[in-house]
Amino acid sequence: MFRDMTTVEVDLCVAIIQEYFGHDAALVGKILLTNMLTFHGLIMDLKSKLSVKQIRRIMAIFEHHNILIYTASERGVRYTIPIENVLRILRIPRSMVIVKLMYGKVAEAIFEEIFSQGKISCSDCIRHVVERLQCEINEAKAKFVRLTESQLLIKCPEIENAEYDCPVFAPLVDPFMMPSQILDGSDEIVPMEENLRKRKATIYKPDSDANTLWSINWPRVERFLRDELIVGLISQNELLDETSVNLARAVLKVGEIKADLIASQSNPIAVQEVSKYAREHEIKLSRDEIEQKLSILGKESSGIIHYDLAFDCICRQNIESAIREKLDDRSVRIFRLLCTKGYLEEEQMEKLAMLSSKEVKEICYVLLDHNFITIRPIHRTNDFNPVRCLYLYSVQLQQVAKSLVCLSSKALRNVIIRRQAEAKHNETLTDRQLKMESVISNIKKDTNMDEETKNTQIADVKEMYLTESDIVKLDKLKRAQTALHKAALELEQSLFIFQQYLLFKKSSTLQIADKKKSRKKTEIV
Amino acid sequence: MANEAEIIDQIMLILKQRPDGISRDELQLHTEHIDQNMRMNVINRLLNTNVIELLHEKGTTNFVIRIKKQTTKIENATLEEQQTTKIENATLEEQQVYSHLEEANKNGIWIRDLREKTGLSEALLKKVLKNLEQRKLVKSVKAAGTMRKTYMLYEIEADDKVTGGKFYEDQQLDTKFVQDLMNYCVGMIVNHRRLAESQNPNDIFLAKEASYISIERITQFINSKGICKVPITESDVERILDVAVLDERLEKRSDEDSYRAINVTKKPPPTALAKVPCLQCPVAIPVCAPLLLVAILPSPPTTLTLRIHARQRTDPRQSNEKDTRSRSRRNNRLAEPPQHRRFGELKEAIVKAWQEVDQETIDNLVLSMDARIFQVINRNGGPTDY
Repeated sequence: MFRDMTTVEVDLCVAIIQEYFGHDAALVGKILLTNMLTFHGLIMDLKSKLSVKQIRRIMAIFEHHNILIYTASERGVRYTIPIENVLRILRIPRSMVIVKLMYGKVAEAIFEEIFSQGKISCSDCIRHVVERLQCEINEAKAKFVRLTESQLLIKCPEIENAEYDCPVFAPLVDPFMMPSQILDGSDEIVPMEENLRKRKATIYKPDSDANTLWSINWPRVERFLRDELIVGLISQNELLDETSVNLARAVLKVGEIKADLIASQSNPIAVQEVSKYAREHEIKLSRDEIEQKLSILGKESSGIIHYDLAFDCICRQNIESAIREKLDDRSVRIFRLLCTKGYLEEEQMEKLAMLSSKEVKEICYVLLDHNFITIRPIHRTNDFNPVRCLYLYSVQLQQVAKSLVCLSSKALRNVIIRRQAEAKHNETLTDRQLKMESVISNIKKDTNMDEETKNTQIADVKEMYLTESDIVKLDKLKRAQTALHKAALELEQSLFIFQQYLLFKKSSTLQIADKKKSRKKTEIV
Repeated sequence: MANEAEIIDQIMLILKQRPDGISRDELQLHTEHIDQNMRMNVINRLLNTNVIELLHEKGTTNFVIRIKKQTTKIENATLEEQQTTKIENATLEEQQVYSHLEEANKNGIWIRDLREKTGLSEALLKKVLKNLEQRKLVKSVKAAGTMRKTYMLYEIEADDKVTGGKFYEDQQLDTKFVQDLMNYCVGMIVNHRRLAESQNPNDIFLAKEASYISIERITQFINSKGICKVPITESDVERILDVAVLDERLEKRSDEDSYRAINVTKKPPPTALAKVPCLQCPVAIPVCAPLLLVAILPSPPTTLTLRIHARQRTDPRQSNEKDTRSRSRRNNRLAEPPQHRRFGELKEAIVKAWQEVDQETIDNLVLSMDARIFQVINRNGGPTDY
């Protein structure tokens, strides 16, 4: 697990933990991200900075928010934080947008509630959402059911046995089944036994489902994000219009239900299934139209969606765009040439790309500098004579993707730190603004004065608290913050793209290795 | 005794059967009935009249006799006619060189190959070539892409392989010409596609089929418009259009060799990496880490000396001497602070120095970061004013 990590990704995760959980949590997080420790080991590392009680509390918070994982080993229980779990925090805004598009505002609120609480029971969640949005309980219930049906929410496994070091969990039988009784807890006070009456708190009747906690089913959410990216890729094809793009989305949804979560290709999908789905989701197209549009999307693919190819394409587009921004158009030409042709010499590149030899040399060295292409010297003679040495250039996409993962993580971390620093720098100003707003709202609520005096008072207060230049500064700060947030979101998407591409590549190499092994076995047998 | 003329005819017949030449031993086998002396005389006479030539076989003392290439065309002419050489007042060596160059025709011969074929010494060969050049019978052409100088007859046009084709001028690719021609072709293909789509508004597949245009039609079009001074061939057009495919302006269909324009209205947006300066920043990959710089540099924490060694864009195949020199120079700059004997001491000193930095300095550093980086970018990695 620790082999695929890099320092930059770890640093990014520490910055995220610091923003959402605080400075102390960041200290704990930093150690747990890079090691798999027992609790004792963790205390030893942190003994100068935090007390045992603080560490324990922080770890409980991490576990509750599905960041910490633990396994039992011979030496005891070992804890660690996988990087993925922390990066998921950054994916929330995008996933919320998707949920809102597909299921509506209430569903989005439910999703947000569950994420912010980490793990929460169904009844509590619905109660909070109803309170916040002032909507109907039935509506909230219905949306919760929809979310569980689409497998976006998953039950946390219940504890069977809490006597050993590590809690033993019961196997999840129906991870998406709604509990039969919800929201039946009420404010009536349950009569307690005599000896418990010493406790001050009154105990209300709990819900029947208070012990079944729900959390976000991240693999499914990531699947949704992936589908969105693929739809984005498909919509670039100018042959398709709005309805076709929606149809493509429908096809992807159908594919989702049938295939594994991390399959690189889906099973073949029939037109029948797509039309059934379309009917269910009110896409108003007749069967013939569906067939025609599907044939545009992919005539001979026999209904198989190639996720790995799609991501290959998206990844390549991103890399080419990065090269175009950083260098120039001719470098993109050479990069694409090497991608399609494989290994080439400088002279061959000259002829194929129609550039002079000086230009080709310059572009190749710059691309090499920035690790977009690699060079491979091949010696023709036995004595490694450099004159008789052939230099072949090629593109190793996995390497480029890895280096861009590092760059995006670094950029993302810089953006987060910059945003925090700006906010802190202007802290006094923002505090003043808050105070002013509270005073103004108090004036507005005051029933003693009439409109005119209120307005004059408000104007006075505004003048007193903030000058013209302050207002300008605050405006600038606000714009800067939104710009930085936006940049962070987009960078996170790039990071997601490169990581998914590398995942697909890894699984495909594993498949090839397995095939070879099985072939060897059959040969031996 | 056979007539000399008859012997000559016999030998010529044998030689004609073997246009690549026949070795002396083989000739002996074929002409056993002829007296050795007679044979020698005949061969010498033929040599003298430049009908046949003698080539040394490499490594052995054997030699090969063959009919001179120029004379194979004139089959019916008599020996006397064949005696007339193509050039007057030329020495034997010059004639030899000339005949080789004639053989080479369009491709020309490299000077080293010429030396091997004629067996002349370098100095002599150079003199001969200089002579021929002065008399404007021979010219040297520098091949495109290589450093060789090839020699060929004056009147003959150099082949495409040597000059590089129509796109080369003075052995350098005429990029502007290529670019203009490519734009013209792409414009034409885009128009064709628009036409196809307007003619077939209902059927998308038909429209797609119709918007493909074959190479022949494109070539015809270009030649008819007369854009270039020389007529363009199909292979030239193919080369240009393949480059346009690389630039994502066209797509190619391999089974028919036809091209179609790509609609540029729906291009993907630039990648998110481009929205942060980290992509362009020259220190992003090796050095950047917001708080690390402070602990490493020895100068007092209030000033930040950000010295980036601007790397020259050199050939990566050259040795790394430059890098090691710069590294030692950089290390020497850091040699001021106290020396530590043990690793533990150094570690403690570093941690202490780090902790001594006050928060305000760090804040200043973080906030001045974008100004510093923009300076670095503007100066292409050179020193900043901070």
